[in-house]
Amino acid sequence: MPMILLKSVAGLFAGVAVGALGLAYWPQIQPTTVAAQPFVEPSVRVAQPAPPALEKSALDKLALALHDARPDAAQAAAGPTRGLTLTPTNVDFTAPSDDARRFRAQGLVALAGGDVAAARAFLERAADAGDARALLVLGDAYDPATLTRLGAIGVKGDPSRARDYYQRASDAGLAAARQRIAAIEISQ
Amino acid sequence: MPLTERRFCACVAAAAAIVAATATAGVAQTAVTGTATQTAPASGAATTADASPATPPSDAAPAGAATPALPPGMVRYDHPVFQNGRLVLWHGAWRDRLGSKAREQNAKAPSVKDQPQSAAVGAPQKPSANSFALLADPSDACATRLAGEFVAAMQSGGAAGRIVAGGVSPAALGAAVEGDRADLAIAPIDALVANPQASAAWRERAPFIAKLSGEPIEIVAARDVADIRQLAGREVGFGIADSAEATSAAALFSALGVAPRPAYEPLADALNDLAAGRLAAVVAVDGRCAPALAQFGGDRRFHELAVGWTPAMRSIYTPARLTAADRPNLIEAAERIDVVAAPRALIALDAAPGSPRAQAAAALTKIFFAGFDQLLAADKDGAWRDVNLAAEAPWPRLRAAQEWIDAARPPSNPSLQVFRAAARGAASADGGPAAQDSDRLYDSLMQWRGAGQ
Repeated sequence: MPMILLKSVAGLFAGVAVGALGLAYWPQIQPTTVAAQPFVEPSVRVAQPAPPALEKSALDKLALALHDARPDAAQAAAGPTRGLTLTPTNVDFTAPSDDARRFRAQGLVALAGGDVAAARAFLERAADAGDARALLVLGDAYDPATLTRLGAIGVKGDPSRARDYYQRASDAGLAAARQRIAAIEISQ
Repeated sequence: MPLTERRFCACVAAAAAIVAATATAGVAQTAVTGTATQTAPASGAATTADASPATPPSDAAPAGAATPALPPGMVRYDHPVFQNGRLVLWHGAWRDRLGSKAREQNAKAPSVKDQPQSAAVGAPQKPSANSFALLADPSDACATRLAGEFVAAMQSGGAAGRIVAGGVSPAALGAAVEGDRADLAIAPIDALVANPQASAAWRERAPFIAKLSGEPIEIVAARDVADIRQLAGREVGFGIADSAEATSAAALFSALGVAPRPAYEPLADALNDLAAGRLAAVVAVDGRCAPALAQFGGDRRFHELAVGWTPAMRSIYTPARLTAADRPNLIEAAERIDVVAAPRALIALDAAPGSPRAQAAAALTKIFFAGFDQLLAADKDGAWRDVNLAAEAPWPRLRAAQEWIDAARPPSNPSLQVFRAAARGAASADGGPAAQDSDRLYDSLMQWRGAGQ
């Protein structure tokens, strides 16, 4: 038999062997089953309008009325956010450590850069370490109004969680948190 | 058929075929590279092209000089490209997953070989805006899931995609940029920024499109290992070489100043070795999606190690926390284990500013951004819901992505700009934001939020 024919047959068998091994050890990636759709020219996303401005006197009035009203039921229904847990409630907020303030600074830097997930994570650490201001900023990091003004695209706020952090900031003595709570109540 | 049985049958069939081939010709001369079988474009011609040049790198002549004729439908590289030690002379001109369709079109079109050589060299074909290949680490189950959902979302937007399995280490990403393996990639941020020297050569050619959320880096060890520093000099499972796990593990231990001896093997095998006492610890970055870890350690002999935060981590990692709700088999009910997470990024490959591939990446970016909300649905991975498409990262962004974001955002008021400038100033200081920056930044935030009401 000519040598070239022998090599061709050998090549065929080798190809089958390599193909079988390749199929057996091919990474297990789930195939997508979405049917092909006609091409659609994407349109530019239109930004959501900012919430309407509120009169300060109305905010203060409503904040006083709502003080101490904690939305436990709403919080339970919303469920926990992925990867984050509420900070413990028995933290001493009177004298935040340098570590706590450093975490707050890092969280504020992340928030300014739009990295909302990282901001929440840093601020959680700061609040855990006794930084009351981190609680208020955490509320902002979950507040849909803040995220809209920040220009966040994609990530959604969680009004219930924002309100909870504002409430805890208010309990820790931050008066500004009351205005935030009132604004959330009005927007809902 | 279960995977093990399928592999067994395939191995038997492969062994029989190899024996028959050897018996027939005496010598089985096949030139097949592992890289080609995993990452080559869908067309068979590309695999042939990878295997054909047998010239060792040391003897490699410049592309275009006394080289074999260009096969139809292939594009010659304008710079030396090596894969598995072989000089690769050309790549497929198409990335369409339907290779037969591309071959039909190619048969009708004039052959590249007939065109002036100068037109082929240095002028790669413009990639299609309606099809793409996405590189993802197959050993990172979470990244693979995100990749699948991304491809599905893009398909509903009119762009057909496929997932290409491959490594995401700095070296592997550099090879992907040079080697024309995929259009996009899901890569851990630490692979991009942890070693600036390793990524300097391709940094500008792999801009990020969006920063994705990360997964906690879990380090599982026997309970007699109480502190991560006890792992110095001991063997630790790092996952498969070039994987996200291996990359993040190496970067994390480097940041911590701890030097274990890495063992490269799949997570399931590493956990078996940990249980048998052959490894001191195992690193996992996709624990949320890895069933092997969820089923490990029910006998309470093992636990999760805490990872302390250091300032050196600030530009790469974010804090994360594990509780019994995440890992009931390894964490006690009242415990909270502080660890770190390595965010991922969606990056465009070989998309230097102004390049044809950057234009294609721009079109894909528009489809992705415009259809992003469908990835926020309840049946999609929760990691998408943490993504702010406008989030910044310590890496250059694709210009088209930034332009889309700027157009979609509401105009920022001056007080927001002041807040952002203060944050940038604090971040750029030596050592990053300090404790004394916290109150100044807080006041700036309060001024901005107050100005908005």
